[in-house]
Order: sequence, then structure tokens, then C-alpha cells
Amino acid sequence: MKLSSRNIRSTSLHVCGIALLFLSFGIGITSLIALFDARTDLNALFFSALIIAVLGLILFTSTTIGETDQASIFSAVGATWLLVSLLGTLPYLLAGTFDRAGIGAPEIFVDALFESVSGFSCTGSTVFGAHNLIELQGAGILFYRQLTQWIGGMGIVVLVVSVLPSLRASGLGLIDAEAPGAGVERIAPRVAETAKKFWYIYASLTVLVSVLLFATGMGLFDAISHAMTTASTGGFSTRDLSIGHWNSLSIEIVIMAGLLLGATNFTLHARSIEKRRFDYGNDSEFKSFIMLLMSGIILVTLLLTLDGASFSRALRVASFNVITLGSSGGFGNASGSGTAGDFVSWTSSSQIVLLFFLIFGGCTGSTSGGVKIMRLRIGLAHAYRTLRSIRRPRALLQARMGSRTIPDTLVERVAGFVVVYGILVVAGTFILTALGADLITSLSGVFSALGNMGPGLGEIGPSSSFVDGFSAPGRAVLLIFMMIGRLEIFPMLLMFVLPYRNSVKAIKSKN
Amino acid sequence: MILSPSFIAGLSKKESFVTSPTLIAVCRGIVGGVSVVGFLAITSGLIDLTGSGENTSKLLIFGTFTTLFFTFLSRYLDQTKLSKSEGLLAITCGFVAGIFTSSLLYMLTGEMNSFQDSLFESTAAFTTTSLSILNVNTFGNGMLFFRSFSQLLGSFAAILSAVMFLPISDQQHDSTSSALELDRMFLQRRIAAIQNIALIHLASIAVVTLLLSFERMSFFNSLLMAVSAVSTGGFTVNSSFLTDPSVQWILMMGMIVAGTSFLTIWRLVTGRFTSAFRSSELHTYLLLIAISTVLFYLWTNNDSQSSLRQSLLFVSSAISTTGFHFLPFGNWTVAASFLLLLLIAIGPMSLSGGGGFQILRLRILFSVSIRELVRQLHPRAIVKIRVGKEIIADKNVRQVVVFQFLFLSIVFSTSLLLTLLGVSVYDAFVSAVNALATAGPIRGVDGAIIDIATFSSGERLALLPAMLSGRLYLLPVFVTLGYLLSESRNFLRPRRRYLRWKSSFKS
Repeated sequence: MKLSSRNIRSTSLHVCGIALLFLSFGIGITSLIALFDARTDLNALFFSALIIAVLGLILFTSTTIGETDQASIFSAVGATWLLVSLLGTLPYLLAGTFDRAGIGAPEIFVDALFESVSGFSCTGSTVFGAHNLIELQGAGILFYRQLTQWIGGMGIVVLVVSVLPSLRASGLGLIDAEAPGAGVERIAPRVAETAKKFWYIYASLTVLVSVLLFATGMGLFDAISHAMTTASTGGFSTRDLSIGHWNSLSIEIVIMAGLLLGATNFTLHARSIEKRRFDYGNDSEFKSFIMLLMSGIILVTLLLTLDGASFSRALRVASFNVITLGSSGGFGNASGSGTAGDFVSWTSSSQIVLLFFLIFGGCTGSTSGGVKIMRLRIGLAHAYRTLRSIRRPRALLQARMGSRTIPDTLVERVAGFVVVYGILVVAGTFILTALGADLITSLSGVFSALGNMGPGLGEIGPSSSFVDGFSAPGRAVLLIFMMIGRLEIFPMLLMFVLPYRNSVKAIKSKN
Repeated sequence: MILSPSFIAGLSKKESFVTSPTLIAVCRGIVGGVSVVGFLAITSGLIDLTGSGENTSKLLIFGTFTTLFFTFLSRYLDQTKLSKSEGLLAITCGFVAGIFTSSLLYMLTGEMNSFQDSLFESTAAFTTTSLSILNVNTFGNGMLFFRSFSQLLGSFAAILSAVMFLPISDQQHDSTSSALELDRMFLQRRIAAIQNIALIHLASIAVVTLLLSFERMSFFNSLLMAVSAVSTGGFTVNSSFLTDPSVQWILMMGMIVAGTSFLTIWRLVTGRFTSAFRSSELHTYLLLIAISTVLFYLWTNNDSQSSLRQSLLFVSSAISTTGFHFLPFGNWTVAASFLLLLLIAIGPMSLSGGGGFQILRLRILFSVSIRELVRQLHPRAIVKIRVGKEIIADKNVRQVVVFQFLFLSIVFSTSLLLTLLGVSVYDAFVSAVNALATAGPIRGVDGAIIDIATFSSGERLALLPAMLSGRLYLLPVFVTLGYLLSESRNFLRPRRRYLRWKSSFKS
């Protein structure tokens, strides 16, 4: 952080300022919806927007872009997500959404922060439940909740980059730090244009899903709300039973299609739109993703049929749940706890198959979370190469994916990512079990949080609330994992490097 | 392809009739595995004379026949030097052959009637997995000896494969540190290495046997318990001894030593205490034991004086993957059982008798994660992976990463297989981890032992691949699978066979 003649030079604060302005604008829109909904939550939303706007304006006007090295980029992205998630609790806190008898202010704050982080990180885990029904909330708060996922889906930093041409090439670094996957491809000559294109495609997808949901029988409010969380593969719903509320096959098909498009690499969408032809068949990751989903659906359908479910019912619930977890959507189509769509009541083998999708998620460069199919393929290629090299020690073997050779640097990056991911899973499970949760709930909870999936196994199924599965400290741990997972680990872990360096410099200069 | 035309003539001429290097490796493995089990059967037959002598004749006949026949066959095997991968293939084949021969023996002696059960029991013994379905109270001395020493054979074979073929030994081999000069000699001369490891094994067994025999245990029982502790097998002869505090202290010591690297023990034995205690892997191992003991003590909610000792007992049993069937104490929290499961998965030091992931690999993975964090900030930085002061070669780092990938894949696939057979998610996951780490017994959340005999035979058989892979440190099994696939592909490849036939027809 450096003081220039007028402004403080800090990339982190500058980016945070613009992000807060966007957030306040979004909350402002939800205030309008509250205005039409018997004015419930209007004050909470309006004052939240105002406070955030003032803060954002102060940060934006008093700062300019500073250093744009890797440490500054991680610091900017991490700080933005932290601040946005933190201030995102304001509407919930002011509206008293999580106030209930018998709990104190710290737990209310944890619940609000959990819901806020779950929203922005597109996880879809919720603390609403039988003790605090979603459907009792006002339209303003509900729409705000959906909006958090929509903003988080494509990424608030991508949004910032699209309006900040002064970042130039560093903008790609910012997008890269925020976007899921092993690197972002430019789809336009300028970085800001690339960011804008991503947002156009994302908005178009949302509009398309809204129209289709409306056409298949959802109300306008629900259709728009669900389209926002479908395109972002978030999974929040305006209903307690999620998609199971409508019990409609056509709505489920639209949601599944929307989730699939959301979980596909957006560069692929851009290319297909540009070339005006269906270009998905040429992408090996997309093909693997579809193949895996199909195998999962067939396997789960078979297992459910063997367990006594009718074939049509089994196919329907298997398709929905495999796709919703495979795309990190996290919607549910259960019409209640223990019903056909509630996968925690399925056979153990079906749950293990779902756990696989809970871990790996969708494609790189999409709105989905998880380890990603690309990394799975690179891991397999690397394992195959290494095993072959034991038999042929003198051969120069390359890891290959289809006809493409995978560079060793990428293999090492993927290996590093997977190792850190594994360490975080073990550490998280360890902490959660120490806080009293059972092993399967803890393990799947950590996978779900890191992969931004939503539900998990054990006590956190699609019909359950996270309040039932975890204590308040447990939920606090999970929200940290959600944020780490949304930013694909490193930005969140390395965001404190820059402040540390600056403080060391300051101490040295004083001495 | 496999048998030369002089197959029959070869028998009388004492010429090698096996020409393919792959098949030579397979045959050598099978011959070695069966002969060693045969030799063990002969010894057990003689030991049986100290008891009822009921199985003596069966053990002696079986042992003599298999040893003589397979030693005779070995004369016809070509003595060409095997490559590293062929060596791994030979070890896997030897292991599998030993298991099958041992299961035949269980059936022959009438101790078990079902082949699946005897296969499971002998696999559990050879892989040093403490999952037994036998009632040992009805066993004679001969079979008890055979069962216990099968563990020692399995453990010994696994260490040899690690010393001679696996990347961990390469890492030590490549070391440039002067403190490791003697260790390099220890590793370079394979025969010397085998002798040294056998010596350490025998010395450890002798010490533990001696100490146990001072504690009201008979010499025979002490010997068998010592073998179980040193080989990290965990089979017990009489569970009532396990509650005796002094026996527990001795077993603890035995298990902790069994989980220590043979290199470290070798340094200690040869008087190089400074270099032995400088091992960063040893520091991690001891630190893990200390921290885990305290945590386990806290999480079992027991404030009686004995619980700290018992915590150390459970922790040392888990981290060394021995798995004696100690009864749980206090009130276990979920965290306590997860801690034990984690220790089982991590396992002891590399080049020790234990299974699991092993601490050296874990430390390499930690270094990989640190490298990735540094590279995120400095993408062009060249960061070497270090464990202590040693730089790990890139080739070995890659193998460790693949090891992690295969480890998790096997846990996942075994869990899936078990759940398909009707086991609950928790039990399937815990069983898979125990089987792959060659530990046991399988414990519930409250620490209670889940009797493996309550599993169906199908469920038990589903654990066998994980047990075998875990004992052989995964890579030999996958290399063998690779050979199997490529040989069957070559065998089935019709076009090539047609062209070969056509060319031979023309000529």
C-alpha cells in the first residue's frame, strides 16, 4: 500500500471498492422487489445497500490500482471475497432472518455468514430448515439469497475486471485466480472484453433457463430465482423442498439441462457461439464429463431398481441427483425426508457413487466446483505414464490426453492442487469430528464445502439443514472451506502473503 | 510363444524350457513363493510335535512335497537377470502363490472347510492384516506356528521388495550425504541387505520373546506374540494376555520398533546414534505418536491412571498397522476413532514392517504442497522437494503422487464393492482403509471391534485385492496387472497372430 499525491495505491482496496458498489447495486434491485412484496425486509435491504454503497464509494474513490504481482492478485481476490461475504450478511442480520429463540448473537452471525458464504461461493448448503422455513421469508430476502449465488457463479472479480480497463493484462491474472480450473483462456483480444463476454454468456443462459422454467409451469419469481441458481450451479431454492416442491418432470429436465450448461467450460460456449456450430463434441473434457454422468446415472438407476424402485422413478431420481451433484448444483427433488429423491435414504452403494460426483464436479472454466474432470483425466494420464515408466525405465514417456501431450508443469500443478486438496479434506474432517459430527457427515461435509456442492451424505442430505448436521463452530469451519474451495484453494491461502510482506517492510524501515 | 518345442526333451536335458522373460519372472515368483511356504510347513510340522502332533504328518508331507517339487522345477528356470519391473512381477506372483499354497494347507489340515475362508485367512496372514476369522483355541502348535510365521514371511517379503525395487530405496540410494555412506552399502549389496534385515528381524523377535516370557507367558506363546508384533501382523494366540499392563508395555515397544525404518535401526545397531536420531522421518514418527497419544487420551474421556498407557497402546498399534485386538476403554468420541483411522492410513516409517501410506511419502506430499504454494506466487521458481536435508528426485516425487492417487482409488473402489455387497458406508470405508493399510481390527465409532466373521464370504473376498496391494506397496500389483493386460492383449491380438502365421507359412 503506497500513498500517492491523492490516493492510496492498493489493488486490493480498489477492487474491493468496485465489488462493493456492484453488491450494493444488486441489493438495491432486491429492495425494489421487497417494495412490491408488502414491503417486508425493505428497510433491511435498503439500509444494507446504502451502507455497502458508502463503503464501496469510499474505497473506490480513495484508492488507485497498485502492484499487480501474484501476491497482490491473490490478496485482491481473497480480500474481495472476504469483504463481500462479510458485508453480504447485513441484509440477513438487519432483517433478523436467522433470529430464533434459544440462540445468541454469535450463532446468529455464524448462520448469516454461513448463508452469505454459501451463496457467494455457490455452494448451496443452507441453515434454513424445519426450525426456520425458507417459505416464511419475504420475497426481497429470498431474491437477495438467489442473487448472491448468481453474482458468485461467474465471479464478482470477473465483473470488476470487465469494468476496469486500467488493469490490462493483470486482469487475466485476477480472473485466473477466481475462476475454477487450471487456467483461463482469452476469448477476446482484451481482458476486459473476455470478462464481458463471459458475463454475456452467463446472463443469456440465465434468461434462457428463466423462460423455459416459466414455460414449464413455474411462477415468474420462482423461475427467475431458480434460473439464477441453475446457471451459477449454486442450488439455492425459494422453496423448502427445493425442486421437489413442483414434482414436475419437465421442470427437472430444464434444471438438469441448465446445470449441464453451467458446468460446461464457458470458453467452449463462447467458441460455439462464435463459430455458430455445436463445438462441444471436440472437447475431450466435456466428452469425459458426459460419459461419467451417463455411467453414474445408469449405475445408480440399476442399483435403485435392484433395491425395489420402479425403473422410471429410479431413472428420474438418479438422473436428477447425479447431474445436480456432478455439476455441483445441489438442488433436491425429494418431496420430503426419506422419499425417493432423498439420496441419504438410498442404498450405501448408490451413495458411494454420488460421493464420486461430489468430489469431482464439472468442467474447468465453468461455474461448477469440485476437483474437476480435467484434473481427474490428467491424474489418470500421469498414473498411466508412471506405471509404464516402471516397465520401460529408459523410455521418454509423456502424459497424454487424447492426442494432446500434457506438459509436465501442468501435471505438477495438478498434482500440487490434488495434494493440497487432500490435506485440506483430512484436516477439515479431523476438525469436524473433533467438534462432534459423525465421520461420514464430516467427510462428505468437507467435500461438499470444498467442492461447493451443497448437500452431503449422513445428516446433511438434500432434505436436511446444516444446523442439524453441525454445531455452530462446525458450520464456521465449513464456511471457511467453502470460500477456500470457491477460489480453488490458493488465493485464499496466499492472500495474507502481501500484508505480511508489507508489515515486514514497514518494521524494517522503522528499524 | 511360451513353451519351446523342446519342452519334453528339456525336462530330461535340464535345459530351460521357459524362454519369455515375463514367464521366467512369473515362474521364479511361483517357485519361490511355494517353496518358502513348503519350508515353513515342514518347520511347523516339526513344531507340532511339541503339542498334540495331530497335524504333523500332514504338514510334513505337504511341506516336503511342495518344497522338493518346486525346488526341482527351479532347476529348469533360466538364470537370466530380471529387470526391475520383472522383479516386481516375480514378487507379486510369489506372494500370490504363497497365499494359495497356504490356503490349501489350511484345508488339508481340516482347520477350515471352505476355500474362500482359508483364502481369506491366509491372505490376512501373509499381508499382515489383523483380520482373522479363525478360532485359534482349537489349533495345534504346528498350525499356530505356521499362521504366525506366515505374517513374518509376508512382512519380510514386502520389506525386501521395498528395499530392492521401490522408489523409497532409490531415494536413499541416491543420497549424497556422508552420513548415509554405510547405508548405501547396506542397500547396494542386496544379499547383505537381506541378511541385515533378517538379522534385525530375528534380534527384535528374540528380545520381545524374552521379555514376554518373563511375564507369565509360555515361551511358545511369547514367540508367537513377538512374531506378530515385529511383523506388524497382529494375530494373537490368547487375548487374555493383552490386558496385562506389563505385556502391553512390551508389545508397545515391539510395535514402535517394528514401525521404525530398518535403516534407522541399522544405524543404531552399528553405533551411529547421531545419524540415526537426525532422521527427520523418525522425528515425525515420534512426534505423531506423542501428539496422537495425548489427543487420544483427551478424546476417550477417561481420567483413570491407566488410560495414558492404553492411549499409547492403541496409537502404537494403529500407526504401526499391527492391530492387536485390544478392547476399547473409556467413552470414545468420533474424533478418537477417526484419529486411529488416520494413523492406520498414514502408517509407520518407510522401510519398516508396517503398511499404510508411510511417513516419508506423506512428508514428500507436504513438500509438494509447499512447492505448489511457492509456485503460485513465483510461477517460474525452481523448487526442489526436500525431506529433511535430502533432495528427492523428480522421478520419485512423481511416483509418490501416483501412489497417493492409487491409494485413494483403491479405498474408493473397495468401499464401492463392499457397499454393493450390502455393507454400510461407514463400515465399508473403514474396512477398505484397514485392508489397504494392512492393519485391523475394524472398529466402530465407539471403538468396539467389528468381527470380520460377521461379514459374508463375498464381502471378505472383496477386501483381498486391497490387502494384497497394500502389503506390496501398490506398485508391484499394478505392474503385474500391466503385464497381465499386455500379455493377454498380445495373446488375443488376432491380426498380428494371422500375419505371423502367414509369414511362417510362406517361409
